[in-house]
Amino acid sequence: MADDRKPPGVYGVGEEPDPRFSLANERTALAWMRTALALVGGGVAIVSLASLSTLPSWAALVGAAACLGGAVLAVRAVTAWARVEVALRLRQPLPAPRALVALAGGVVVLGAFTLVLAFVEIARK
Amino acid sequence: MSPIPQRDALQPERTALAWQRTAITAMVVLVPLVLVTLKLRQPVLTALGAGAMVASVALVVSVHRRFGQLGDDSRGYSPHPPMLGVALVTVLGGLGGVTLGLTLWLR
Repeated sequence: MADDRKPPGVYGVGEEPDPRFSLANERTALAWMRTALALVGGGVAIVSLASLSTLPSWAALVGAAACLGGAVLAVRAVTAWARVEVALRLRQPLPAPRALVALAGGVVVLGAFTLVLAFVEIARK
Repeated sequence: MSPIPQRDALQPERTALAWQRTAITAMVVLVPLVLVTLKLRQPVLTALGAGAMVASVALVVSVHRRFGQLGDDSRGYSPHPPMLGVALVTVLGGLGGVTLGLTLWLR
């Protein structure tokens, strides 16, 4: 029977893996998606606070950066799911989770940027 | 198949719960975006956020369907289409936040 599942780039190659591995891959992608949603949620919360109170204008910029990071991470979650599923179907080693490094780096940079701006703001007052 | 059948049964349950958590998170995240854009009178962003919220409500409903599919090993299933839906909701919310943040910053 022909496999009509989408995307064909994933289901058109290799053999059906152990369903437990596919389900684990699905859950991992969903965990990434929730991380992306948390970034968007945090960013929206910062932007909301910046609009409703007297927070400095750069706070809105920090929120926007978090939202952008979340949006990129959501797309990345889908592409990473496809890469892992293809590796499972071809019985190949799983790709390295490079997004983890990018996520950690991004959070550190955003945190450091916010901290520096907060100190500058305190020093100005 | 696992030598312990009960463990096999927990995999679909955990996956369905992961979908449920993701869909609910998507719905909750967009609430402040819609409220703030309403207060700031940004109708385009409000419509964007509201559209994404409707999509995330549909995702919560579709989790029930996914749970039924998970119980049937004979049917092939691809999580790609609903996953694209979640990604779309997240990207819409993210772009809404970016637009709002930049608007406030440049004001």
